[in-house]
Amino acid sequence: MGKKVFVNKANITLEGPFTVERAKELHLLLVERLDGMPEQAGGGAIDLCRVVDIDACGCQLLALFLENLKRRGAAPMLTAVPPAVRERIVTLGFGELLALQPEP
Amino acid sequence: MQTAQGSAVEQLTADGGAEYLTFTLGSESYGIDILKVQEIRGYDCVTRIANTPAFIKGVINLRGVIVPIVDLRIKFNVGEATYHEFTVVIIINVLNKVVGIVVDGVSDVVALPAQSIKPAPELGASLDTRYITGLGTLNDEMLILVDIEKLIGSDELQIVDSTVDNTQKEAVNL
Amino acid sequence: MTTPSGETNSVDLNRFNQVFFEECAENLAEMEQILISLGDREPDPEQMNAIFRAAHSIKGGAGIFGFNDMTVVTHVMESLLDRLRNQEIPFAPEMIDLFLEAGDAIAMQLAGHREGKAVDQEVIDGVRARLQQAIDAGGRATAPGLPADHAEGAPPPQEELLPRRCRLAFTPDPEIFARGIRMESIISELAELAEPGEFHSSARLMDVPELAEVDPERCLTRWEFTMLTRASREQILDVFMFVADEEQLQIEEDEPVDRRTPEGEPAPEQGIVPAAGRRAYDSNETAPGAFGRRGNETEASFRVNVTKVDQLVNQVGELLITQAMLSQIAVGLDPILHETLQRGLVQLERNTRDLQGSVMSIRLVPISIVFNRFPRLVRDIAAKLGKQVELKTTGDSTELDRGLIEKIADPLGHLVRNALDHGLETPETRAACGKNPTGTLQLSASQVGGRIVIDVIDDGAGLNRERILAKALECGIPCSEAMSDEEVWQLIFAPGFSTASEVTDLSGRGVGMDVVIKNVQAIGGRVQIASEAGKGARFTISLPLTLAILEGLSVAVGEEKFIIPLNVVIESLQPKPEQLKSVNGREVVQVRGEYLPILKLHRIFNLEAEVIEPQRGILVLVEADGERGAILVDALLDEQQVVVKSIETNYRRVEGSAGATILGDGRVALILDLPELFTMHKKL
Repeated sequence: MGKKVFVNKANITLEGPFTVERAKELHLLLVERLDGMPEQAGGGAIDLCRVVDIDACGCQLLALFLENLKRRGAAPMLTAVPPAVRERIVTLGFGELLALQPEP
Repeated sequence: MQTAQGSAVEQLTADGGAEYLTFTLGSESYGIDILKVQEIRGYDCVTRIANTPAFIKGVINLRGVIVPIVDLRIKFNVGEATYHEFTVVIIINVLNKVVGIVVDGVSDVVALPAQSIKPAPELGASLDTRYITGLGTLNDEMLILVDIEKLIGSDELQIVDSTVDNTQKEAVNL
Repeated sequence: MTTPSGETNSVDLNRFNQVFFEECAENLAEMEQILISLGDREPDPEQMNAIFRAAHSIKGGAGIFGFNDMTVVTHVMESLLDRLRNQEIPFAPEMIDLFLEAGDAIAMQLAGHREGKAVDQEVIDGVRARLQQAIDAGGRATAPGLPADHAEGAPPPQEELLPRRCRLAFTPDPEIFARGIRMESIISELAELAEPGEFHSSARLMDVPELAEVDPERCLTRWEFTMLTRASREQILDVFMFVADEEQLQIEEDEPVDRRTPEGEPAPEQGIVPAAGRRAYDSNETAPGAFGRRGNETEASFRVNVTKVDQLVNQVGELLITQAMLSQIAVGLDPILHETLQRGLVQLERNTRDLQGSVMSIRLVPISIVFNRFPRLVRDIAAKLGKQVELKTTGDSTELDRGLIEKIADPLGHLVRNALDHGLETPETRAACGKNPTGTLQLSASQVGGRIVIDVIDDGAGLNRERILAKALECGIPCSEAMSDEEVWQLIFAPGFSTASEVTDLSGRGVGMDVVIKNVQAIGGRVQIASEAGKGARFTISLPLTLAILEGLSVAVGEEKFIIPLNVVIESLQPKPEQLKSVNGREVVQVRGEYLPILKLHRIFNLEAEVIEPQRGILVLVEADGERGAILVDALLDEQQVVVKSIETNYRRVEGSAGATILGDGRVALILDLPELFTMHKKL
């Protein structure tokens, strides 16, 4: 089970598989974090280091989350993306939508 | 009322008691687990089936399902096997079978706590001790509690086909 | 990259998985059918493609639906097929067996997912290893420059297509995530078709609603793929076969730099062409001579849950009873006063019957469903026994109730096994007897009157009267030398009877022919045997057309009513005194020179009847299983369609009855079983 880990107000750490099986749960979590996000918070980061798997549904949800944040003036970036997750995101074609940074 | 009764039953079930449908056969009172009873109806339109014991009265159409009717009065040789508008058939649902039994009359539904049920002694009841789970007392009257499932499934009643192999052999050796 | 973990557990997915299971089973069946039809021959390009396509579809579907274990065998199989197809590896007859085994392994995995059956991983690994071996061995054997002698007519190897740039736009069904479809599998598969490093995928959100309003399982994404590929358009479409409907997928292909336009074929139109949906690759299969089931599929069809059909059948049955009840009530009404009502009732009756006919026809399926299993069975068993057998089937399109199909498959399989094991001789023995070393086993089905007749005929040694009698004696089965051949043959159906001198792996699995007859009788069927020493044997199964509804003649005997199945009734008559005779103390009626025994229903069923003397009643002449008789009844009531109800649901089997029905007045009437009645009559 994924748990909410509040590192601080601007940064979000996500955990566990980010897939359709958990879509409803993840959606609730992100909606909660969206409302908790301070407007005009500027940067911030979405830490994916604990994400073990992601699928198209998960990518879409993450993309929608980012778009919603943008609408509120925030533009956090994905950080600490595990290689497997990164590769999956690229395969699925979500690299651009998720503003995935080139590999370090 | 309903809920009060419901919780009473739960309580009783928890300590091994249950509700029983009581009926009479001749001069004796019997009880069967109410949960095994599907419904009670009158006796009519029974289609005879050939070459069956006399206590198998035949089959009826119960809302599209064909149900055999057993007259326990004939089987246990008690009471008078007459059929009229007050003749009662208890529809039982056990062993995945629906079976109707004809009795002299249905009396009541009673709840018996487990401690009031005594083991059945070898007694001269019309029903074999094998099919009796115990004896209860109701208004100073003895109530014989019947293991209806065992009775319906018994070879004696010949409702459940336990002799498939024999009929098979007959069919083969034509 | 991490593999997606296992299957999803969501119950909603089952519905979609079911589609995959069915597709997969169909693909396996199709593959097997082709492989069996080959014998030892090399598949022609058409067949090779069909096999490849089947394996490929299974692999693709398994990946998409997350049954990753199933992709393992299919993947290696597909590789081998691909090399065969491109003639990188020469064909060897052993490969047919290998493919059949691979099919079995996949079927086992399918059953594992579908019904939770055990999967023997050793078998899977074994098959996989041997497929791989075939690839490796073939690769070595033909390493450089395969002789081009059999290149004629072969499909052009993929390498001949020049790489060209393709752009795909895929707008999936919004339900795609909820259906458990794995886009990553689809995209990976698509990427495999591209030249290395020449694949790009890009996802676009079609809408960005407020996050709280989003249904997280609903797909709002569309994809665009750009790739440089040598793959054909069909190959690309194949990737999407389970997921894309027409108009959800658009493919735009650039001209290859150096494209050779095939002779006589116009170059494909430029620009975006809407691709046909998941069956797009079928287009060339419907051409005459195309292989596979889809080629024959001319009418549109869709899948319906069996329970829904059964429910429909039951409801029509109830409607039939209600209609009969209304008609019966109306009989008592003044026809002039209630003319409109009467007319309406006649119309109702007609409509009800039409409806019933239509509903029943839904349940009818061709017997080829069962027959198609046997080529494989026969092939395997014959190989094990060292026998040569040619299997012929006729009447494959004979239709019967699907409930019966399921129940007849096992007994039929047993008879086939029995014929191969005990009936047909070894090639040497056959040759010594002056017979063709290759034996013939024939399965034929036909509809005779209201029954379906299935014959299993072999041209083997026939049944051995002496051995059967000796064996029966040994097993303590009552018998005598005086028995007719017919009666002796029936002995083999007795429980515990088996003539095989040693228990074989095939027929002697502890179940004998008694199981065959038990199963057949359970669905209202009968088995007859004809045999001629040295010439062969014929087992005839006769089954009712349907289990659910029967045309019957209702008759009255005393207070009771009975239904005589109309298909056994020849005629009814009121006998004249001079027609009635007594033979050996048994009453018979003479009809057109023939003496028929009189079956008195009231005596057989111990009833009080109004008519005891045949000349005062009515005789219904019947014939069943070649036996004739005259049933004595008080009166004929009506010809009607009755809904067959089981008595055994709540009671035991009733001798002399083939079930019961509910009449218009709500009473139960027994349906007579004629062969049993004849037997009961003889015992009186």
